[in-house]
Amino acid sequence: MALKDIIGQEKALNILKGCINKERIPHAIFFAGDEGIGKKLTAINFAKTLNCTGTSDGPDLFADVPAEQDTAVFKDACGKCSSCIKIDKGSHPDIFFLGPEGDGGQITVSAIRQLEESLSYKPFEGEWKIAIIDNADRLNRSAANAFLQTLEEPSQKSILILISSRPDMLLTTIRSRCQRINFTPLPIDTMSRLLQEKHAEFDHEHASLLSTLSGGRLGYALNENLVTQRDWSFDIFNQMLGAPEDNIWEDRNAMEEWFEWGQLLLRDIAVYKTTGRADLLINRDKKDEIKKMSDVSELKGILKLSREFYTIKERLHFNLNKQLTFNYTSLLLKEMLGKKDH
Amino acid sequence: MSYIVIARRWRPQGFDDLVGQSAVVKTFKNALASDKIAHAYLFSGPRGVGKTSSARILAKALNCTNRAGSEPCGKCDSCIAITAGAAVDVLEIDGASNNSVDSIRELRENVKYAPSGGKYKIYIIDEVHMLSTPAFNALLKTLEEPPPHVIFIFATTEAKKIPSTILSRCQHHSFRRINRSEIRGQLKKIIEKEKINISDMALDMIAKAADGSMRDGLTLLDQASSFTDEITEKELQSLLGLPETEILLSLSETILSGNISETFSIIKDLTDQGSDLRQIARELVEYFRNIAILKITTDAKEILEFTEEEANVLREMSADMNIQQLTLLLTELLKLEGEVRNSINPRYTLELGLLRTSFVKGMTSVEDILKMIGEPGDIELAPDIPAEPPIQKKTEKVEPEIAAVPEIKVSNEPLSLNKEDIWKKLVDRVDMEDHLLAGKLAEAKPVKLTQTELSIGFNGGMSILADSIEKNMSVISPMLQELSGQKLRLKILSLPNEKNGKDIKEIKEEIFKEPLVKDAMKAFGAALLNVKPLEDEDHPDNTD
Repeated sequence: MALKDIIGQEKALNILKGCINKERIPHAIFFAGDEGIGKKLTAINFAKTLNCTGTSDGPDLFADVPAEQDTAVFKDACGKCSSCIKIDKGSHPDIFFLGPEGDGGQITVSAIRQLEESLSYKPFEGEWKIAIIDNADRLNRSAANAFLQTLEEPSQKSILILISSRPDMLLTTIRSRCQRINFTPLPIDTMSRLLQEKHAEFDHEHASLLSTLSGGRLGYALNENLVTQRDWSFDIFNQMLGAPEDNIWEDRNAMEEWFEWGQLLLRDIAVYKTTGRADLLINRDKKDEIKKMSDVSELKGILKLSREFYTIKERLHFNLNKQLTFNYTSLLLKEMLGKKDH
Repeated sequence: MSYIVIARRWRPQGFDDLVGQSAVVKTFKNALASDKIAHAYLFSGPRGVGKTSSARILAKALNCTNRAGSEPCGKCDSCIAITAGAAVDVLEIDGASNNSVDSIRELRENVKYAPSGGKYKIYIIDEVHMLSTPAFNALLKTLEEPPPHVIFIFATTEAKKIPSTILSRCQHHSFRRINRSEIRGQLKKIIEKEKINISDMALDMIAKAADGSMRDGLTLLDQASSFTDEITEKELQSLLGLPETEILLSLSETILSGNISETFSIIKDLTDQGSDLRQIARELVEYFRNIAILKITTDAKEILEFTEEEANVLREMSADMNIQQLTLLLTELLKLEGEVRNSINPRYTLELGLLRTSFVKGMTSVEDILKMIGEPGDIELAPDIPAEPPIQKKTEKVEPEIAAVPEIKVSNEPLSLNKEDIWKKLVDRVDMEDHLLAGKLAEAKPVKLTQTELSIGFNGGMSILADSIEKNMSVISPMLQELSGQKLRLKILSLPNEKNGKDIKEIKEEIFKEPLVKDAMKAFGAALLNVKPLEDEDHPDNTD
């Protein structure tokens, strides 16, 4: 695996490549973008590329980009030299991983101090010392502040890579010290093509459904059973409109997921209601059901319902009673979707 | 040698290099010239505006061996050592890492030793807001009266987290955001020296995206220049993840015109291309904020740093919206932006939210509806008073009520002035003896005064007080007799929850007859829920 194997993040890769080519690698980089679109993978492979001792074989991904200087031909990671292998195994002495730990799921001051100390030495065997801080939004307040000085002026030959899917949660003082590289969701076409390449059993229909459902997040589409989950939430939705059963949600995560799916369904109903266009739907395979629901509902009701869903989802963090939430939601659904539009 | 980013290479090395902080710079220059150096400084301000740099420059200026005027020379041993961060007498401490009381105690130990070479021993404590409370307190004594050779410089982004005891011992300098043109000017200077090719438009965009922070601007410039040799607007947009202006423009147009089908199409295209919808939501908010501001101001240049043409485009777009609608739209978008930011899948949150905003177009402001109510013909008027304009009707209708209200009081009670007087005197008198009892009495209202008795009453829930007053009657009665000079008895009545003798029901009926109210109810599709009297006025108003 090397940088060239990372899919759909050409923009980000071009920036990184440009830095390497021009020998202007910033000491602090911030990868921002949605969950499951390849940030961490890019960070690891960027580290591999920087410390690679072998030469890349095969066609260069960036061969089409003209190199201005002889010395600045971009070399991707080879994936075969000892450095690359060590990084893949996570045992390279110059690469540091840091992520949230313990009960609170935070990155603590002591972890940061330890990292700072490790970074203060010269690299052991590679050319660069690279620290990858995953979920950097989980740095707690003192850790983030303690990190500021290192982030601004780290020792030579160190590179700090911060990764976060919630970039707005980081302190502005942290963000302003890093070069931010945005990772974007994949275009739908590219993604469904990729899915079909990887999984021969997917037909075009299924692949494009997966891409829209996942919102262009490849990792999400591959790791989770999206369609099953979607169908599960549809079933509950329908049950709520009929005679509800008890204990349908297993735990809070399931509830949170369900409300997210529920909003998706509401969105489709609302879109169909206002435009009547099937091509704008996300759950394209459920077209008929959505049409039926949009016929019996009122637009205002759907919007109100989506607001309610949003509020409930927010409050899930305060330990809502599962049964009460269920009853309440099912009441809301019946009320809003039961109305006839005249 | 590893690459050093532009922001670090271009750290200002003298006061004259410091951009956008003229007030602070002037103070320092004067202080240095007249040798009035405080022993403790606090620099506060947003990220990347020059706090740490100023601290270093000040340290340099103070210890410079051949300083002429107020600028450090930058060439003497001391200046060079400070620039390299190797000076023995300038100690830069990271307050966030050394935030415990032990670190401060250690510092206090060392403070008493004289500087090794320079004139002053200078402690720069960065991120000082992270010091613990005991650490701050341990510092107080030293900070108030340090040895003559010691100078403290604190730098922080959060001045409000500094204890007031520390604040009062320091000379506080607030660093302000650097405005766009100043950032642009500095960037321009740097691109010439660094030989970076960048278009003017792109430079503007960087200055804007820097958002008042020089370091942000320099970081962006650095990134852009390592990304491409020829920085253009388009390149920068893709680098910053900004949506293209045309897309934003067409999206805003569909929102303003309420063409929701088209809005959905645009969003579909955007997701198909893999654009960052969160960023788009953020940009939309800013876009509509600008439109709203332009709607109410003619001075677009001052507030938004816009050219007249840009402003006119936006003004035209919102021509058939009024400011209430725009405000409503902006409020919805702001709410939406937060929702989109936290959403797992931003697309449908954005779509549902924009669907909601499409209703704004059809909304009429309350003001307009009220105006419509007033226009004959739009809404049917009550048949009995057809010709007169509504404002007159209102006053006419109210007047008899004013007359009616005192009527009730006056007819029953000729001595009404006396009743209030006596009651007030009585409460004051009781107050001298028994403060608690007086408090209870003050809740009551005098109702009636005859030759033999004074009746008082409590409003609704306060009638529980009546019992305890009854018990204290033996105290009150003699006082009442003494004050009035007559054999007056105190009688406590329980008043029903009525207003000026009129039943709520009656008032409601009366209000229902009011044509203005009728029209309003019709226009809003409302129902009359409650009638509240206005306390300060002497007639019941029918505003509810």
